Amino acid sequence: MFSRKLVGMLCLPVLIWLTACSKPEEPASADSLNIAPLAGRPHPTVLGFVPSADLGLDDKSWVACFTSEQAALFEKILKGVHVEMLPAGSESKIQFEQATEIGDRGVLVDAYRRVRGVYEVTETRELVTDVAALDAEIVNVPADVQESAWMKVRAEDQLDSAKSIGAFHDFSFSDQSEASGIRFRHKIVDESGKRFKGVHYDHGSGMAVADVDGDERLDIYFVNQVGGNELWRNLGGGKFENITERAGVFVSDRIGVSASFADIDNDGDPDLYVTALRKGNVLFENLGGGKFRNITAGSGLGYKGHSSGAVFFDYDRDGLVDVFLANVGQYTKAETTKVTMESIRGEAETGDTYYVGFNDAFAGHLKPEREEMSRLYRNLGGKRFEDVSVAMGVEDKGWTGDAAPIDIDSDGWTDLYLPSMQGDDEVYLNKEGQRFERAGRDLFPKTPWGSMGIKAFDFENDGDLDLYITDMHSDMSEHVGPELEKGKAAMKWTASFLKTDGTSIYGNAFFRNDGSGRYEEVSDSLGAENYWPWGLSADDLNADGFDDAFVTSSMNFPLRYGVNSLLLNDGGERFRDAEFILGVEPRAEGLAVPWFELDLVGADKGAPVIEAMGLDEAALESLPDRVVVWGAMGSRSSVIFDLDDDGDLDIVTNEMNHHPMVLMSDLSEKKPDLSFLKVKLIGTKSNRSALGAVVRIVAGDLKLMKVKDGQTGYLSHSDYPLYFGLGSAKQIERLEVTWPSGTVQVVDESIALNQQVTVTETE
Amino acid sequence: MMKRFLFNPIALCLVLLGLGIGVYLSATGQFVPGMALEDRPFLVEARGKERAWRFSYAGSDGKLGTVDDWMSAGELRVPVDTDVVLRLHSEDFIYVFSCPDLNLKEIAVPDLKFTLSFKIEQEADFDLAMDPMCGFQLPPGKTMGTLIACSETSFNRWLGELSNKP
Repeated sequence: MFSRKLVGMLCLPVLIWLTACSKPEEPASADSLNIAPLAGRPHPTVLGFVPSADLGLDDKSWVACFTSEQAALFEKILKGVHVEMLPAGSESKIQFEQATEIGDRGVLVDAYRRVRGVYEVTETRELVTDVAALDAEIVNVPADVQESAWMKVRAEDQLDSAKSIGAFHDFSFSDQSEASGIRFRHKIVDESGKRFKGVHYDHGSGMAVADVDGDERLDIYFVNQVGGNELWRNLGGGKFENITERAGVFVSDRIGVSASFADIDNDGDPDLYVTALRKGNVLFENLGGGKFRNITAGSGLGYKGHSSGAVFFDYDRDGLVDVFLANVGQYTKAETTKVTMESIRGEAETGDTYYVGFNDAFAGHLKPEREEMSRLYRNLGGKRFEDVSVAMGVEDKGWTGDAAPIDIDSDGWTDLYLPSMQGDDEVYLNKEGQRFERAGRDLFPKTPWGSMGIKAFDFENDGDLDLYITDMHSDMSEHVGPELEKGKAAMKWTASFLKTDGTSIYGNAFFRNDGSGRYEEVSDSLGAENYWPWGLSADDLNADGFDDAFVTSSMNFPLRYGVNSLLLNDGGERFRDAEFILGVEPRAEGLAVPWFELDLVGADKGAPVIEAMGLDEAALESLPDRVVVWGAMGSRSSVIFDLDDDGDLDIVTNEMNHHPMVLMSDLSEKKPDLSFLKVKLIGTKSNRSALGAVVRIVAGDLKLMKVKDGQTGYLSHSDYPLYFGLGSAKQIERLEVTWPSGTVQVVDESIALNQQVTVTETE
Repeated sequence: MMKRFLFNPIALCLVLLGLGIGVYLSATGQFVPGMALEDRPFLVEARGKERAWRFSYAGSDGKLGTVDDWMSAGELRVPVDTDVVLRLHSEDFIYVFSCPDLNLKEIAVPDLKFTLSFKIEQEADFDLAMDPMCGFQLPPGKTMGTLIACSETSFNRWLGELSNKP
């Protein structure tokens, strides 16, 4: 478990021998090598292969020696270098050109791309000493992450299966986070790290997209637990700039959870609602041009509690968007404690604090005193909202983290499906905007026990909405190997804990709408199961006319890595696993990253997490005073949208304790006959964001239907145009919009393919 | 009345005989005051703390949860062929009392009470596993304790050796 050699092999510093571009006459220093950017954003580089024997570093198998032009070297460092994780004793392979010659100077760079020293090649004693010091910064990598052979097996199996997939899959995604310019990094509180406990902080944070400045490009708002949320403006061409301060949407004094864009005042620009833990949710009004102001005071939306997702929809169809705020339940105490900043990540000390989680937070559903009712707010106009939860009959006290606005009974009024992360899901049917009626068990006799993410979309293009719900918590009842990931959980928890009396499904659910108001659970026959899922985003990634799904997954420290699932919709018949086929897995940066530091003789002496990592007294004896602990990577939220306006859909994630992935699709290059249409809706009688509008398109053999519900991923609600992949269609015969006002509008002029059309509601 | 009883030689003999038998059984581990095995079911309290179980048996007052309870750290001993009721508590985290070999499982949560009933018919030792409850696990090879089913005689002898200090 704790072989230093193995650890070193996995977690390496990188030794770079600079050659041609080095100038011998100048004193060697980090500054003179212009490596300032290296100290900025953590970007661990995973290497490990046998060094040159000439340097006397034979026993340092984790030291990489390579040579190149200086500029090229730095470029490679900035991009990161990927090496397969190999079990102990295996012969390492490196996907990087190996050294052919050794230059006269070298730079030692650690996992965070900090330069640790510059050395003359002729005098290696100091270098060897420093390498040994780095070696002593023991890095603990979860055993399952060290042993990643299963990833290779899984990848090979999936690649073998590609030929049997009917859906178009001859394209791929590549992580362009570095090139995008996005430097946001999610940071956790200690209870997901060195003070680990099973508390709902591990649900992470969301993200959302909208065109905040009216330039027709979708910008991204990332939510953070510590260090502040950030708004990144889309510059076009896949590039972004940080405009958080300029836009006035910085929220840094509270633990951020979700973000939702919608036009609350119908003035034509998306406003922003941010939920946070206990210190109050925040409402920003968009003043135009990407400038916001905080209007929480007086808005009625400054709820303080354990808020999670916020969903805008117009339940009474009065033309103003209302909002449903999902509150989880009390999972923290009143006590606060300081967030540990990690110097290994270049973080400076701050005064950030967080509320200490209950040790038994995960049993909160057994304790009525910890219930926290979710809220339904009615938009009164004038940027003010009123809590109408009780008056409207939505008094839900389930452990709910998100919600889906969906017209479940097809009566033209948007209902609410509330996934419960610890118990039965619930449904509230909207009775013509006058009241809601609870109907969960009648319509859905069994629901996932640990529901997290939810998305309604038309899976098989039969004209009605199906429901895909991911179940995270059931997968926590038993930790299984990769071979069982596609099956339902063999629930190991007791009935006394579950408290659902036989009404639970222990895994993802896919409720197929038969068109008559009945929903059949078909997740297994559709291939919709996966492991440790959080939420999902659904859209047509291969533009074939059938919506696909991207499911963010993985539990991070102290567990093994869980793959994000990319499920290709194979003609409305079933999902096909394609994350390896399409390059989403394996990740460019490996499976794990440094997670936190422990001071074993100081503040962290005797910390429970030490035992949890399997460190007994003997192992502790052999360790230095300070160790660096690694954790598996994992995504939480995601949004699918056309980031670079090239006609295909890309994926951006918000990770846990790491920087986002910007997964750029090359579909537009690989599919010459790419056919699509983006539809931007502007409501007039209806709410301007057109939330609740239904768009139907007939194009060739395809009859497509999408609802603008704003739901773009876990803890993610966005304002964006609908995307219709049109397969091989050569023209669009019909485009029809059913507005929330009830108006049915047919666009009868000729609509060209491969563009964005704007449809404004007729008066 | 009391005076007449104390000076009744037959009654006095019976009392002395009873005391003598009690002292003998106690000395040989066959009788522990408060452990009324004839009282079925047999109650034991399990308390989870710092990823380990502590078990309490009723002391001389015959009641659980008092200062003279007999304490066992990590080892739950029960007599075979006896109906046992385990009262489960936790002082910190959520635990699962889990004995996979016997398919026994119940949770322990701070401030909440749960019980588990079982009867073991043969003498044997079993591991008490730690089930994952949304997070913590014990390192491989470690357990939260042991469940030992033994004869009544052996059980009483073991109980007599327990301390009532937590």
